[in-house]
Amino acid sequence: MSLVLNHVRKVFSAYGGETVAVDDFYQEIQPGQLVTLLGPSGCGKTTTLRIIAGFEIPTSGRVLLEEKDVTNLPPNRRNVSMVFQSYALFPHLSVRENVAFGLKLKKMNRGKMQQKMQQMVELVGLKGLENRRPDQLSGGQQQRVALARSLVMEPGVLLFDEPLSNLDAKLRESMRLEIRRIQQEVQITSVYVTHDQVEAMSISDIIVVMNQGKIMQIGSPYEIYARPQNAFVADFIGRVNFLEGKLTSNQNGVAHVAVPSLDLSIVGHCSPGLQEGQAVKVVLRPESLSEEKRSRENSLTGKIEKFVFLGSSVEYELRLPDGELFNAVTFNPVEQKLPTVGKDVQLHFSTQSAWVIPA
Amino acid sequence: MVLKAEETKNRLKNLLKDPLLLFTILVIFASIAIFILFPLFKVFAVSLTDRAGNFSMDAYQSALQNRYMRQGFFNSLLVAGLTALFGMLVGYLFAYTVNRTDIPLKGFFRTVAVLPIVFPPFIGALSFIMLFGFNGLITAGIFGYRNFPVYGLWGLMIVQVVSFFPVAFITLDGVIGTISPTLEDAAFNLGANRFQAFRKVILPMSIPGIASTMLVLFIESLADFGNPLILAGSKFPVLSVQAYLQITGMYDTRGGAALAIWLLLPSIIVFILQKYWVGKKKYITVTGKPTTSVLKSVNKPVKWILFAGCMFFAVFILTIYATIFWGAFVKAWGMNNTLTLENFKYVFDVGLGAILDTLTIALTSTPISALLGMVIAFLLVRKVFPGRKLLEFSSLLSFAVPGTVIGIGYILAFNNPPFLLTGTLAILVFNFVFRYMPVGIQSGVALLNQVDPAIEEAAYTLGADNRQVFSRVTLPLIVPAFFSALVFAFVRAMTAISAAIFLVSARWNLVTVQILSQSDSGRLSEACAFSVILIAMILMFIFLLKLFLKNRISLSQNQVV
Repeated sequence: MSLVLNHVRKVFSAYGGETVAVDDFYQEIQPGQLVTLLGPSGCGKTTTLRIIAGFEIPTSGRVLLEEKDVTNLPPNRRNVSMVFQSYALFPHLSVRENVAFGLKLKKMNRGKMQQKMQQMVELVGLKGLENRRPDQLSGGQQQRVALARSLVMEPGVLLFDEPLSNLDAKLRESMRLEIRRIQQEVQITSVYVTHDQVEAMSISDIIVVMNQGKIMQIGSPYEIYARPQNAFVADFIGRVNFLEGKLTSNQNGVAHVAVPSLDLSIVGHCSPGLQEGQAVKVVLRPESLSEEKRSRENSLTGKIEKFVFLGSSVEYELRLPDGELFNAVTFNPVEQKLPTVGKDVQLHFSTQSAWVIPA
Repeated sequence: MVLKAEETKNRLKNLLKDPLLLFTILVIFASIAIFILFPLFKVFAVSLTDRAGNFSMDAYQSALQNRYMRQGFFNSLLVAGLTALFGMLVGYLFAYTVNRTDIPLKGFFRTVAVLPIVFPPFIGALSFIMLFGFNGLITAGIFGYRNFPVYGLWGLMIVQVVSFFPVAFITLDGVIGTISPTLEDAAFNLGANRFQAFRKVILPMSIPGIASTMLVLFIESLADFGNPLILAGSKFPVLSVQAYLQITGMYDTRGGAALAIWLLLPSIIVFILQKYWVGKKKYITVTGKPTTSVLKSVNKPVKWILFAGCMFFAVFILTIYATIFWGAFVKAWGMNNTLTLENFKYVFDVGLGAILDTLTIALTSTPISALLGMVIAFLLVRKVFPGRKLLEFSSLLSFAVPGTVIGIGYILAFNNPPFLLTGTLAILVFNFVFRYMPVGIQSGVALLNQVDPAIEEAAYTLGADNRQVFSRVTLPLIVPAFFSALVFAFVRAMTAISAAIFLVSARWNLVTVQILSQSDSGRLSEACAFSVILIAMILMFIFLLKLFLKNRISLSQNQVV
């Protein structure tokens, strides 16, 4: 089912003041897509989710489900289901009764209900636990019940409110793969809220990065990471270095940037809209730098301040000539020698990996 | 602001799309206006007019000029303050001990801690006099001491603590029982000793419960009518009795109304103070993720000290019971202690009608009261609608209003068309429903605040409408509050006196009023016999309810706690 948030805005008034929780949120979500709302806490992602669910009424703007305006429909008439951070299982009901809860309300006949319930319990891997009560299940199992309980309704849109944040790291990893598998298996339109960027990257078709109620960028995980549109997104997703400079030319997205503090000229990529002479930032991911030159057009030098050996990689902290710190990472360190603190190194990076954004 | 207006419009549209919710809210508003606000308004109106119906402050002035009345005002406050403090402490002792230790006889203590509720209000006082008074079994009978000071401040306070601490126990039992032991585990784990864990975790988390408990006790004590009528004595006047005497003894309605207002003001002030103080504290300890742990809150010596404390009060309470029971079977207490059944024969000859009336009224008002309490608690905690604050305030208001005031208000308000209810069953039922509903609301709100709202939201997203969410999720989750409200409302309806004494008639009479008139005319043994029958009916109700619960609800109750 398609979902459109049409210029949704939500203002909370408290203690005499007003807080804009969600500001002019516009996004069309295609059927079967999993869209993640990602951002720091308080950025409005949960409010947006609760607006879709119908728990919050937007101050302005509309919510459209399959092109039908549902802005004023109560949650129970929206064909939208939600998986909660706290699981929110009915503590007085068994797994079976939890999963069948919505079906019973639909007055589905017993045989069919039993069959669907069983099918769903198997899909989420809870076979044999049907008669347990929530307090007899582990966190992961509880979240599976919550998922089954929502999925069995075959909702038009499935909402996830930080569903994995109460689980331990390992379980979180396997559960997010599981959620993605199930989501693709049943092809259900989903909106997923998280503040965990790795979770967002691994699970999403589209990521919406939010900050202070505003959409900072919408894109695929690749676009969000490799082609951030602003410093917030670049900084929020993954680790990043910024070099500040001035755009000297922009020809079909190939940019030349002068970085006066390092006396450098960098060739990179940028979005076509940037104007020559404009102040810009060059976004450099730590892993895009290498001591090997090969076909890398750009380079900079720095002194190794410290490094951390992480087994599969080594993380450096370099001091650049202008005094700024700079992060770099190299992989497969066993094959190379470990770096020496205090040593000057020259690092190279390619045109593709230097991404230029407005300052 | 334009945007806000649109949001409000959306909200109203939502409300209109749910006619059941809208209807429920409107009906509740209307009935609260009629049965709580209107009678109060009448009391104010009457107290502010003179004989000719013009505005006048005369009634207040004459009340203020009377030293006796002023004294009554301060006495009432003093007793109420002391009762609130000591009643809360005893209630906390029982609630904590039962929930946080592995002492033996827990069931016994639980039972004893709610038993005093089944005393008709002034039977505690009656029994106290039978034990410690002029002909007292203990003071005179054992020690030969006839001038033990049972009348006045301390006697009244002790009887009120015994009568009202069960309210504290029920509230605090609900609060402490829902604090997960894992929180204490966490405190121990962070290096706290047992006392620190209590002081830093359990105590702060039970503050809202303690506060609302003391609110209950203060107002109960202030409103208490039966105990002071018997125990206060002429040297220690209290306001509720004075207001009653003003109306029934002197036929001075306006003066009674003015005294009622003096009684009302401190209640309302305490109520508001506590409401805004308690209202700021909120803890979620029940989430969708239940936990279990072993009790290890206190060490052995403390455990037995707590046990001894509970045992002391338990024995004291049982002695009071036994006295009434014994008194019902003797010819004349303190003078002729021959055993007899004649008192009961007398009771059934004279009072069968009152017994049946009492049962009818209690069984009609109780379920309405408890269910309405839960519905209102649900609306207050979980719904946003215009006038919510007003609903909250006014629905809890009747609870802050002393029975004497309500009683006076009802005779003033429902004596004329369109609400001509004087002398009917309805006036008593409405009175009981709205008078005892706030306790249900309070415990419902307290419990609901500890339930993760996501659990109900989950039900909505699964297609449940408001009615289904309430009946299938909310009510099962707050079922302990519902049943404590049910028990409370029933017991109060059975033992009501302060408001009811104004509302009974030849057609509809109450056992409590019978007890009062029997003891008034010196027939103590007959009064005891009436009391025994009343207590027996109450115990039967609680027993049947427990039996029902054991089969139906116990599982879900365990799930919540």
